[in-house]
Amino acid sequence: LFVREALKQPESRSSADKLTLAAKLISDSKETSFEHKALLEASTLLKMQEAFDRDLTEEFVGLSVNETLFQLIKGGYTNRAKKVQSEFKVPEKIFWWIRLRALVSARTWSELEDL
Amino acid sequence: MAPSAVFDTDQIKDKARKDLLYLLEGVPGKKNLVIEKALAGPIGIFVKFSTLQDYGVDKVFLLENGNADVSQQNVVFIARGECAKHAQSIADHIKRMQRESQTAHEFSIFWVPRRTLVSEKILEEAGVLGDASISEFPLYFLPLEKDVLSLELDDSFSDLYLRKDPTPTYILARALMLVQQKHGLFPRITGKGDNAKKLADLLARMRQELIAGEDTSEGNKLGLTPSTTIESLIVIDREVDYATPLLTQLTYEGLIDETVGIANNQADVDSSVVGAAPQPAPGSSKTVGAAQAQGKKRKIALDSSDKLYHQLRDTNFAITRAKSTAELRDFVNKLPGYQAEQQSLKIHTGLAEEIMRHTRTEQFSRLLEVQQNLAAGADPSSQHEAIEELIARDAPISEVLRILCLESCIAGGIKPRELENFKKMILQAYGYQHILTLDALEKLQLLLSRTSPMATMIPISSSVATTGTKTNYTYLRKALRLIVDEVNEHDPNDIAYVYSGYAPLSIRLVQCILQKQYLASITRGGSANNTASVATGGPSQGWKGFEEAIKHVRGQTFDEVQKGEDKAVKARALLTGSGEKKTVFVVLLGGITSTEIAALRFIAKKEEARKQIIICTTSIISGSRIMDVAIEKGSLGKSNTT
Repeated sequence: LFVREALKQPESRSSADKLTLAAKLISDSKETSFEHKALLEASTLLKMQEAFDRDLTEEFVGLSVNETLFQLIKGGYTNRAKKVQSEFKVPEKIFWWIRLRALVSARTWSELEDL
Repeated sequence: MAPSAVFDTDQIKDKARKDLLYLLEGVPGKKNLVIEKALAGPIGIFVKFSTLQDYGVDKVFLLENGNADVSQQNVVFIARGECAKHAQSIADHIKRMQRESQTAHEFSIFWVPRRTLVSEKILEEAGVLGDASISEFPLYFLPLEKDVLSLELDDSFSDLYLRKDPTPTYILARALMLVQQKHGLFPRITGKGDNAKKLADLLARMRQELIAGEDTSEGNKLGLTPSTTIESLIVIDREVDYATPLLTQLTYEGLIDETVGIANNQADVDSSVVGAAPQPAPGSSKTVGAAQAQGKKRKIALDSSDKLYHQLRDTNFAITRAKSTAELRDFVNKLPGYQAEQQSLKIHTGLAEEIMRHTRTEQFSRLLEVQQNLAAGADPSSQHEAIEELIARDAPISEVLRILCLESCIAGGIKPRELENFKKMILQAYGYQHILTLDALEKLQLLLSRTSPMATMIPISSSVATTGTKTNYTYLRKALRLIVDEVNEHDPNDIAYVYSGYAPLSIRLVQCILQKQYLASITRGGSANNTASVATGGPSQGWKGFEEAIKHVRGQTFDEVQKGEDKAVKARALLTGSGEKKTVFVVLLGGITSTEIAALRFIAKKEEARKQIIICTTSIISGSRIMDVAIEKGSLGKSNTT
């Protein structure tokens, strides 16, 4: 499986390439449509995380979607978090939970009150 | 030469120790030991480091650390023969040592439990085969307790069910064969599950080979007649009952295993919980394994030599919790004031408090609630909201997967749309590398969609009575009374107490089989009549429907009688007399949880007068250990240093 190889890639860029390759490989088969979608999402996430890494001080590469959201909200980048949410169609409820946890850990009580 | 009526596991311990020391004696002079990590613990169970020192062992190293030095001329490796990786690292070691030092070294390798072609080949290719003397160290069963034998194969679960590697089955068969050679054939082998069937077939074949290969001298013949001291062998395949280990264990020992983990009768507990390590008192369990682990974590030996633990281990934690610290202290004060007990009191109050801290968290009670609801057969969809919340709140992935797998096992798969939803949530919450995790779980048939071909094989109506391909919990829940509502945790009356109301299916099956024995004895003679009516409690009224019920359990069913020459049997029966306590071997292929052990001990206690139950298994498992097998450790885009 190419995914394993992708895991081994130290650089996020080459890892994303491998993922796309893996996605292409299984895109023909109908049964694996779920995996296909997931792989594409994975590489999108990687690309976004790289962008965040460049722009922001925190490190994002290697985190999951939820963890990324968590970091973003904690750091106060609410708009970016909203973008990620819409990109990956994170359900409202889960997003709400993440936001709650993140705001608590960042101790931004004023925003908590706004919820 | 009357064999002792009660099977003594200490014999096995003694034999293992003798075997090892004998092998060590074969290597003259001082030597360094290099032990595979997974073997260090087991070896520590039966031999003390000081004993090893008496036999000229200077230092002990772990094979995986690769830091064995060249201080001694003799180097002894001990590793499992099945694993190619270990052979490779032994070869690396030897080459490195030859490079590093001027003096010639003597290498010895002890393969556990046998040498294999693969590892010899690897050594040969590395060019070191000729430099080492190789012997076998036939270590099979390790007695963890007086009534528990384990192969301690840590990988047995993944070997059997993920990679479909039959090695553990083979080793188990060999181990049981040794028992048969010593105590006579198991008069009856009963079992459930495909791997269990394989095991029985292997045993039959090994027996044939033994007959064919051996000259018929008197001594050997003995091993091939049915034993008079052993009643039967019961084999249950883990595959038959995945759901049980997926539930959170609720006995004291089980909870320790769930929260801190127990390996080879030892738990690594943070010393802040149980206090700093005491001064090594004379006779304290200073073993090979403990000698190496220092620092923050402290190893605690958990076995029945600790009287307090012996009493507590199999009780439902609800009681342990009820017994407040003060009560515990009272209890110990009543005992003669041995220092050892004071210490164990300190350890166990510490442990209990730690566990309580864990069980009091909201997350734990949520998990438990969902699990109990699922086990009781509540509509799975009603639980989904709770699971979603757990994911959103970043509960450990192993716990979330455990619940989903539990649902899949019990309800026969999850509805495809909902499963896809969960999969998506898991990937987003824990990372896309878990595509591999989900794939592995599917291979294990733990997490299935209802539409998948493997899930639909569940017979919907009970009329489809072919051999089950999948365990049908909905049916069995009623047939075998898996759910006992009015369970008394303080004075248990049914094995269901171990899970606070759910009786493990695997153990229910054992109960059924034991009762089947009674049925057979009734038909043969009236003497056993009254024993049948006081049978093991629980579903005793329902044993007639047992054949029907077992069709709803996954895997092949078999029941074989091993016969020897009639004359010999009769003669031996005369010699040993009747009415003696007989031994029943219960084998759980693919691992057993400590809670299931507790349940078996409960049966054993009820049957104490007539039977002794010996539990055999490939390893001790728990739900989180099953999940660990599947969970992908790496993460995307991060450089993996390991």
